[in-house]
Amino acid sequence: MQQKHIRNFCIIAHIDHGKSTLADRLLEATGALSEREMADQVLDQMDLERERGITIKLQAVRLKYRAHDGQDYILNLIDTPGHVDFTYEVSRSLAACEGALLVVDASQGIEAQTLANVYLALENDLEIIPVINKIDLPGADVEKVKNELEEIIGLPGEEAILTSAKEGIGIEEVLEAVVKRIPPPQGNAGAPLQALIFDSHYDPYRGAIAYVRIMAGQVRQRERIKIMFSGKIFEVTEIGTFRPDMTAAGVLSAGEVGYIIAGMKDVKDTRVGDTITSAENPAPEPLPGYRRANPMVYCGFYPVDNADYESLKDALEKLNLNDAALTYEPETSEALGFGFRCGFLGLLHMEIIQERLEREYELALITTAPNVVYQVNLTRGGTIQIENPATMPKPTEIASIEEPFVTAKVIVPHDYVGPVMELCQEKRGVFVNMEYLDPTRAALTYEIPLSEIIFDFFDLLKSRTRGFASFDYEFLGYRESELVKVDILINQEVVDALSFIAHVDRAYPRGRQLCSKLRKLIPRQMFDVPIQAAIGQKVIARETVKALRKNVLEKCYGGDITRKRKLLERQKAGKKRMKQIGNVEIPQEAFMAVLSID
Amino acid sequence: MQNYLQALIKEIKIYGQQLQQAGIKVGTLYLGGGTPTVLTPQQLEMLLSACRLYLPLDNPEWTVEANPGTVTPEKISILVQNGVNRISLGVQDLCDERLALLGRLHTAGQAEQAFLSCKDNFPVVSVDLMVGLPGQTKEDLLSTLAQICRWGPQHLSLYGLMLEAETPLHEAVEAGTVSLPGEDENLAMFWASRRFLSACGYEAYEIANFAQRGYSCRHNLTYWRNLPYVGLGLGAHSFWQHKRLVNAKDPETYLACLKQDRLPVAEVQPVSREQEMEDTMILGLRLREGVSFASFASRFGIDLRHVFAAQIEHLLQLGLIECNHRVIRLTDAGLPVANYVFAEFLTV
Repeated sequence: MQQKHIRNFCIIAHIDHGKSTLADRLLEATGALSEREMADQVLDQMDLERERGITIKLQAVRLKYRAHDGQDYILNLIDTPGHVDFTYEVSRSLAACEGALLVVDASQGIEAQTLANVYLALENDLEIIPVINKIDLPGADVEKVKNELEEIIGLPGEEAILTSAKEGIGIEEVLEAVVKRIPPPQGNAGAPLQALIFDSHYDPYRGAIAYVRIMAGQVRQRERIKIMFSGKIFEVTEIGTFRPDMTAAGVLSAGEVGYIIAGMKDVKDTRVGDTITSAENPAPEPLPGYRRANPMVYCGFYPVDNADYESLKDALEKLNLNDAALTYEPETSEALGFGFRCGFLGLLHMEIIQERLEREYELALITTAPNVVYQVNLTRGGTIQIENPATMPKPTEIASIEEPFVTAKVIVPHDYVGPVMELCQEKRGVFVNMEYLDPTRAALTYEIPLSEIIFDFFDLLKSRTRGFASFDYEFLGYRESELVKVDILINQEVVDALSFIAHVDRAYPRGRQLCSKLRKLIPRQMFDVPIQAAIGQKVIARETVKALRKNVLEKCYGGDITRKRKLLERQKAGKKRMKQIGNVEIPQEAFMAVLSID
Repeated sequence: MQNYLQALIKEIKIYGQQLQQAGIKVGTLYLGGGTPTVLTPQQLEMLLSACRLYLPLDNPEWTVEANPGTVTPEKISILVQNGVNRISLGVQDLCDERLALLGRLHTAGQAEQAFLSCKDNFPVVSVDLMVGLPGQTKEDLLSTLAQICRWGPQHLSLYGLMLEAETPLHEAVEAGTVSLPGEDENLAMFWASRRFLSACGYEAYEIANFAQRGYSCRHNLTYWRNLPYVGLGLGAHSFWQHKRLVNAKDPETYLACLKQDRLPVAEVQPVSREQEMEDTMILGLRLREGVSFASFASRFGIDLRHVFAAQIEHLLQLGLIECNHRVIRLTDAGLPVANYVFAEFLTV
């Protein structure tokens, strides 16, 4: 296929603006899948994604389209994840394209996340085709969205394509625009191979499969390839394209999108953003933009039943095969026993892994509250990274503590500017600027500690703006803060897994709130259980779970026995999900309670 | 009602035959689960004589439950003539206001009347009372108990109020128009009633049951000792040959089965040896006599102290149970939190 007949594009959209439905329609219209073959939303393959309506794992698909000019085109649609945790992955899949469909909900307008991805697309010199979707809905205001496109992004509103992916309106126009407005790929097929890895996935039989866009050169079967940053060399066993199932091909040339299988053992060999070149005739330089995705958020995973430790380890190993951004290290907690400290790109990433461990691997887990990575400058010199609050050195050994800050962008109707500013300030945010996108909507920029974002920032933002705010953030850097470690003692014992790090001004109220929350979560035991929060030796809050005094069921005759047994079994099953710490049984929610205070 | 009664009598007949064949005698008989005395005298006569006719009775303890409002001299004489020797009266309380709140149709005066006529006719009378009622104080309870003790029943049952969903009382509590005693008050009443009844000569032989010496309810002891029993009628439960059986709960199925001379069993749950051991513990610990090591060992061929070593150690440490050389039982500390103790014995 000649390059002039190839178009590589992606779809940028806010959650719920209809990206997946539009993708489904494009597949349908080009016959990539018959209607009958389509489970709803083919591109989102994980259950979790379907349930939440978001794309986590990237997918790519090759569409054959005969355009109105009578010529046949290959359209490669590269799907992008729609969540801030995966911004880097988004940037790499954008780099694999020449154009993007910008899908905006006709009644919702442009959101912060959309904007962030549009900027990424512009940085990658992508041709952007605005698509105003859901025009059939009663609340649709096409003119308003057109104005927003012009004023916020500077795209001519008149060029926007009006669609209803759900009703199949405007699909043909979208396909034509992809052909006419997105430039064909360039890149010299005769040059040394440069293939950009924009995604990868692990197959238990074939190893890691790299999803690539060939930027220059060609790749063939049996060729020896080199992964440029990792330096590893493999022999290609299969190459091919997504139609949408993987279909082998003889050669992939500059401009094309496809996959490479080369006996790579896991996805760490095919990190997103790395460049694949020829081992015999390597490109002088890798493609720009590679960076290793570093975990931003950590938490501990512990099996409820210590006997499940090995199963947890196996499960993490398996997940890691397919997810290079996940890190895990064995860790021991006095309270929880043996487990793993795991690193994630963000909170959603964490929740995905947690849910997969519980659903797919059927593990009963205790998850400790997530935390960021702190940099601690020691009095004796040197800096250490703290990934677990429990391992924070003694105050006397600490010269200063630095924590990660992010630049947060919130787009909000102007009526809610006040509450959003208030919220950002409560969360220790530093105001940077505010600009009006149009007369009714403002974009606020704040610098906020990441630790505040991973607590309940997003939930609060939604509730205080009735869901009208949209939000995005990017890592800014480490900054010194006045932080202290707060320990929680249950029945006089420090429960290391409940320790948290807080700004000194927040330590007292957070300690109090956590104690009161724990009092409600910890079931009554056969004795009084004191719950205390302490900074060092100093107790800053105290609550007591009163002893259980009476629970006996007085009536128990013939017909009651089965019923009563079931009741006791339920009571007991509830306890099974709890962790025995000293003499006290603590339910799993307690370890996450620290998240929902404030 | 007539159809139901005929079906029930057929069920009695079928079971009677099975018991005869197995050579098992009926030692206790209990007509309860509501108020059998709502039956007309003729119906009552039919039912009781069917029991006598079809069941292999062996000088049984024969109890009938009754609400004070339904006890007439005519019915009493039918009961007595058929061999009923124990009556359990649902007195509940001696405060008319609270009786009305509970939706009871009788007054305290009627209850006393009913009691007196029963006492003259039955060798054993038992009284059911409720504790933890709205507005009830410890003093109220003690004065009720004092009055009952003056009547002198041989047996007493004290039940904590269980709020059933969608009853008027439940709604009133939810709405806040009525308030129930708190946990501490309930606990105080629990202990005060036990002390008082003990002083009056009633032994707390089970968590909720009190009797003068020699008058423990033999029928209910069967349940707590986890021994076999057969339940007859709509939705009745049986424990029989290591299976728990439940009769059909809807009248249509029940009637249809018996019309075809089939037992109306709707559910059969086999009881494993482990489960039977656990049941023996959680039921037996309800009793003051506790669970005897010897009887457990002769029944299961293993010492319960081996089977439940971990649980026993844990509960001994908490002071909730005690063991001597013969038995294991709840301590005073264990009594009010017995559900905790029972749950320990379950392996789920």
